[in-house]
Amino acid sequence: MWLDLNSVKEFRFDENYDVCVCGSGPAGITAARRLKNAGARVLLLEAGGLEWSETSQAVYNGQSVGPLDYWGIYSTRLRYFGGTSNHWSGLCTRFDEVDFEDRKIWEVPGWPIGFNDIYRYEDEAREILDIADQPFSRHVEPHWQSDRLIPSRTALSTPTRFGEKYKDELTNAANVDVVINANVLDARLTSDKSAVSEIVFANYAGQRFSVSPKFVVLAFGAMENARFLLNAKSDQPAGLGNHSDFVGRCFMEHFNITLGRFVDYGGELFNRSDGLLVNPSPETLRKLGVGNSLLSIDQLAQPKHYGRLALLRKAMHDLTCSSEFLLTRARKKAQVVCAGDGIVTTIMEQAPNRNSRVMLDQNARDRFGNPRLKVDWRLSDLDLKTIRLLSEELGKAFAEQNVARLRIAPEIRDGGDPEVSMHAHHMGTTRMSARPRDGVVNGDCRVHGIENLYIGGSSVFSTGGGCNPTFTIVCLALRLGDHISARLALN
Amino acid sequence: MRRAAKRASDKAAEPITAAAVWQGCNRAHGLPVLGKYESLPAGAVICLRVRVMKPVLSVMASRRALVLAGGAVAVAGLGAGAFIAAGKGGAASSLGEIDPQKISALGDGFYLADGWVLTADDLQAMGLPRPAAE
Repeated sequence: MWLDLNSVKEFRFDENYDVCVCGSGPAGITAARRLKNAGARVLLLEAGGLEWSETSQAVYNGQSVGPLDYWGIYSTRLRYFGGTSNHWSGLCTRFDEVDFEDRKIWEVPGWPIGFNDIYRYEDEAREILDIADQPFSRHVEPHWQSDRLIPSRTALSTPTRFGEKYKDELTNAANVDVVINANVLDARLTSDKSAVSEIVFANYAGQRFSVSPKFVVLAFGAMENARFLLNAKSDQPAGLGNHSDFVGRCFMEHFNITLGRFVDYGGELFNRSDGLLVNPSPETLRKLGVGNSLLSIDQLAQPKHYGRLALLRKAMHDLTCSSEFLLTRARKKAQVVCAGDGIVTTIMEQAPNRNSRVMLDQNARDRFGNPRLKVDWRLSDLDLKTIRLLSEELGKAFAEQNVARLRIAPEIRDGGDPEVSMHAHHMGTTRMSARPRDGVVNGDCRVHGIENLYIGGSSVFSTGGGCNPTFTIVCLALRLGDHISARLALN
Repeated sequence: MRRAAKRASDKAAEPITAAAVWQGCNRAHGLPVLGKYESLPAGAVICLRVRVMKPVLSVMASRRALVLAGGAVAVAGLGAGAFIAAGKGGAASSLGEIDPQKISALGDGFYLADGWVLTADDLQAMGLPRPAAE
């Protein structure tokens, strides 16, 4: 069934839903489909409509209050059917096995589950993300080898738009009800506070509805999962799952930083022209005790010459670049870009850090009266160490192989504040932990202390790794679907 | 066809001289074509002021050719100079000037020199000292 909640004034929902999945992004739709295929009776609630609208998106307004400007609170997320997959870039990567080792470098414990617990769902996730015929391959195989680095393994989705791809399948399923324009506002607990008894949601006219499913999956995205839990104060004043004050804390991104520029020696660095993607090797990460990173090594665009003297200018430029004597002197006066000169950027892991967090803004409320989001995004000393040491390690690999020389960006080598941007990868705000005191959900993605409340998406990531998160989100959602199916004694 | 080819060949063989340039200019402007050496500066000034007149396009092209030819000579000269001057620093010298005071050891036999991650061989090739505190 497909229902637009804005089109009804009264509606009597099924009283026998097995699972209510809240949110229709990659995590929500994947979990809903998995449960549907297992035979569960599923209600899928989406706050937005079938298309983007300012009315829905406006609920995502918030403010950045930390030392690092998080300018994408509104724009990096999408609040309509299919969620943020509607502008996903499509790059699929996995965490490395070393990311699951207990390296004791974080201020909080790492993952309580292992690499294989997640990626045994890899084949199914590939089908879902339309990369079934693409093995994770080395993006570009460097012809030079270094023990310090390993080639990144990636695949590129079309990219999959979950709303478009799975709408008909979900709508036509006899055991699934899809409801759009359904804004989930609260989760009420049983009298002993051990389980969710009721999910309350509303349309844009403010009419309220409720259901009482056996299980609930929150899949709003990492920022909104935390905001919902913190706002759900009807039965727990500090918010649901906030027993150890971890809801919203350990907000992680992947740092987008320019580590520096390099000079390629005689075309030795690249064997193809489209750049290289590498990660630090596991040995390097263990030795340095730092976070992971995907390092993108790209050539700079060559200058174009225009006008009647273009030929002459190009000849001068080429001559300068071909002569070390001239180039040395020219670089004293100006930034000269020659063939092979390039730049290194990153998808760099941010350490889980309690002080980097999303919070409620009690001074600003959305149309439903709930406090909006405040994001306090900040670096830790370990992050600065990761940035500096991985820069040096890459420079050493270049020099060791005599393929290039790296000049580390001044603010990194001088210990200043590096210019940090983001990748719209929101993670960690309901982190997974073996013990309740270290996080929000357990190894099954169930909120500690609440027996039927689960969380899907990257908010459960204990650490962020040096990889794009969507592939892992889908694997975890499949795993969550199987777990709930097992509890329902389905299949 | 053969006649046209011959005309083109004759034209190409015509030497491009400064005198031919100012004489061509004067002719195009209806000015008297003076003796070969008498009014070269005046002809050149008139010629430089010409921008749009079609007959003078060939003169403009000639000026471009002269500039390009001059540029090519300069580039060749610079190239020759660079070739003569090169050979001391090796590949690392293309990194630009490095302040010897800004060199520190990074470990594993590498050095941070004004931001560049270099080897001991690089430092030696560039005539730079290893840091005293190594």
